[in-house]
Amino acid sequence: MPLADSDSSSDAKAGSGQGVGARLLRKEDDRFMRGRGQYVADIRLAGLQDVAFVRSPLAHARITAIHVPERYRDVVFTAADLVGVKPIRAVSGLPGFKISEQPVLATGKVRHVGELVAMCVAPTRAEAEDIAASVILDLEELPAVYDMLKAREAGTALVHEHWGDNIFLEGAFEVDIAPAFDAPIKVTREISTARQCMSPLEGRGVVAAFDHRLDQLTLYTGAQMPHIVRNGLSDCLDIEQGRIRIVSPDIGGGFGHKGILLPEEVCLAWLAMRKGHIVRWIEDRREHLTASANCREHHYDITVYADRDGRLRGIDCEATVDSGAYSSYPFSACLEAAQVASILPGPYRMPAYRCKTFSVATNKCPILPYRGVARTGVCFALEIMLDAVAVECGIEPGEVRLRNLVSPDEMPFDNITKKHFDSGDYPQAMRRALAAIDIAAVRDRQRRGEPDGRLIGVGLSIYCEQAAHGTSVYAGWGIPMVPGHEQANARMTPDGGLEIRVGVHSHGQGLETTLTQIAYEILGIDTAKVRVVHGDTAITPYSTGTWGSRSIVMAGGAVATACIEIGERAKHIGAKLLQLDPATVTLHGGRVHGPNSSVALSEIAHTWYRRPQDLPPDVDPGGLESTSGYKPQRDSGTFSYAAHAVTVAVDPDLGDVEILDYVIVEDGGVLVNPMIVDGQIYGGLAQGIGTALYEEMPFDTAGQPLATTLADYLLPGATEVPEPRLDHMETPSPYTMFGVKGIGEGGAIAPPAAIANAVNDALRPLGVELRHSPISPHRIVGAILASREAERSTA
Amino acid sequence: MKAGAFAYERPSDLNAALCLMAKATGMVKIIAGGQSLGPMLNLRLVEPELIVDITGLSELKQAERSGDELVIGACITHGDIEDGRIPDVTRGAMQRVAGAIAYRAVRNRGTIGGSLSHADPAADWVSALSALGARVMLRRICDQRR
Repeated sequence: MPLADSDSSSDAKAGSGQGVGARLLRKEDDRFMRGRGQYVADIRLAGLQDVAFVRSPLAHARITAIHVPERYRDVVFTAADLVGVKPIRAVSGLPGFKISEQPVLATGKVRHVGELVAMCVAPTRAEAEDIAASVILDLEELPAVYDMLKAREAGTALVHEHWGDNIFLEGAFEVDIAPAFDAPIKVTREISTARQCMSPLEGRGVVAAFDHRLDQLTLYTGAQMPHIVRNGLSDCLDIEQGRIRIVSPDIGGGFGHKGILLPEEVCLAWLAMRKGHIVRWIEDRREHLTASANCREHHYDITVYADRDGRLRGIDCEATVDSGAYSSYPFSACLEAAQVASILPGPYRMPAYRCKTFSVATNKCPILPYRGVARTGVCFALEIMLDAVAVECGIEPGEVRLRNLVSPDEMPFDNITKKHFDSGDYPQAMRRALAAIDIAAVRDRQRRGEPDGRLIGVGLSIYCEQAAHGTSVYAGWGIPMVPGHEQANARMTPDGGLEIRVGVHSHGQGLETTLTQIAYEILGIDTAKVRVVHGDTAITPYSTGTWGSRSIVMAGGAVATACIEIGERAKHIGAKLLQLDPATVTLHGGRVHGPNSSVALSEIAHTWYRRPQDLPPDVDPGGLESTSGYKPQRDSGTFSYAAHAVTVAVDPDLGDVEILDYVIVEDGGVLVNPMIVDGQIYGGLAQGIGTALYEEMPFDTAGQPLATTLADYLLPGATEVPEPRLDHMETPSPYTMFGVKGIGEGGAIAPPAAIANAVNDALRPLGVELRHSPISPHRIVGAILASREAERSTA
Repeated sequence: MKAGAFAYERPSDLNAALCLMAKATGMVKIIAGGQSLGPMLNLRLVEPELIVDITGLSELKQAERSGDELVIGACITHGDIEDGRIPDVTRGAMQRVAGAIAYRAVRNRGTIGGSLSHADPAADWVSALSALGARVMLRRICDQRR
């Protein structure tokens, strides 16, 4: 529900009805709403057989034998069969990074529960599971590395013995921390976020087929980055890229979970080539929860220094991230922790800063960057600390933030870690959020008390979301994937339509709509006649894919660039048809106009394709098709941001948290389609609420995952997600086409911090402060009981 | 998450069902709504050799009131009770319990007999029916007891 008067600027731009700023209904929803989306599991190909995997039941063990019944010898494959297949290696160029080799089928050791040991193929999945159940593993159990902090200690079991420790990478960043030490306010806390599973509606799935005519493997896989999957597959299988085609059909939720090269993908590709028939593996929910990639497990030892008026003097932090057993491809095991050091200060000014980071290997599934990546944990840690500072100073939390946020007249702004903020008015976003949540009214209500005994609290958080950061940033990380120019292909059809081909993938972002809006903005071709083609390496330009909130900036810029190129060529042809000097014509509304006459683009397209005899002799031979590349003027990223404010009621006896009101004031630059952005914020908020209150994948001391069904792994449902009140600001980015910024992840970043602060605000009279997500009833009641116990023992 | 292989029978009267169970040598599981057994089969937490589907037994789909006592067949669903399709002697108490079990799709298929025989301590009927002083009638091939 948008707040009143929030989007007048986009309404003004929406005058054309279809261009940048229009709240156009999503083109892709016609098939989705009718249940006609096509996902990997919907693909039916003749002769298809199903694969089930034998997975490790133990977190850490030596494999002494794998017993395959004689009758299944031809349909069960182990590492010994995969001759020449290389392990998955995601190396970071950061100094000191230790390399893990992730075998596609386990060799020697298993390093997490669910690791692939053997694959079994049969006409149906049930039969394949029967075969898998008949395979016996002899495993010699080793002590499991199940706790990232203990894993850092000397003498602990080792996930990769030859490393000598369990640290993928240790990092450090410092700007002159010493002067902060004499600050009058010093607040120290330990803060952590639980390990999560991303839990998209659709899990992973792979169908692999080999085409002998084309001498090409086709891998159907729900991939956010099909071209990157091809890179990785080519490396592991040591076959030419031209012999691999990746098709990524509709995807039921990506969020980062589909931005990884899976060992299952390598296995199925190998199997299709070996067996010569089509093979399929569809991840089930149990595999997803116990054996697929995890995310989000952070730990912070953090001290904030401030003056008595709440102004920050410095932050000193040691952050640890549980990276799991292997470095996942392409983002690596260290991106998350290394990012923590660079993004922790966020949009706040401070003169001193120090952060040490540890990416730790454990006997758990590898981690992946989940929507918001490290930002959700960082925002949780820093915003809880700002509230603690506010309490220590006796100042309203909102006021502490306003005193430290970068001001609009400092833009563009380089913060203490040299993050380059392109534009924005952070204090205004915070002030609007404070006004909308009506802090004064909440404080009054708190003083009055609730008739039902519940406690009311209000919480804030603000963050920045660096998006579409490009070559210079990723070259620094040195991971297997560095984004360069983003390309798009635009091609007019002989009947005047437009086809756009992009290497990014759309799976909820609405790119099949927004990219047509951008084309409309340039060429004026009705969006109904513009088609966006994506998800197939055979027919799209190379791209690192959809991640990092980059697609509207990068692919949107590329589509605009390609359309501008076509527009210029069309103007030249149009001028000839109008018998005018090309310098005197303009292009708008889908027509080339001279002073007194005009010709439609469809007529120009007809001429190029079907009546070339009418073309000017100096026509551009490239015609009405262009593949063009784009990079923003600066590739350090766009910075969108939002202030979140939430009011909650907490039941101190049951630990139940009800969200009473939720306000989001966001600034994503110029919005191509504000309706789609609203949807992205709603979705992100739902996931943020999951992180804040429900989702947790606990492990026991043997490294066994304990939430193995959705009855144990709690996800927020419709009744747990309130309708937020949204307010948009639109500060254009000075560096991008149309001034757009990436916005896709933001909704999931701020809610855990805001909700934690609200719960803490409610429970402050009880002397309770929660600093570990999810803030479950168990943790709330436990903290209240512990506080009472402490009070009794001091009394 | 696919069940292992098992034999399946759907008898049409109670005696036939009891005979099937008496004759079987391996593990037998009875299925009605399948709301607990279904996932357990798929997770291979149970791997019975024979599954006897009792949804064809009309004797178990009846509910009769005699005086203050109500006899409910095992195959009556939570939804039947929630919607008031069977008589009531509890002044709406059972209706309220039924309406709070899981969500509607589960209540459409899940049965009161299945809930009691599975006896998950978190299940509603186990405690609610104890509180209401209910008794359970058990049948075997040539015997019945309360």
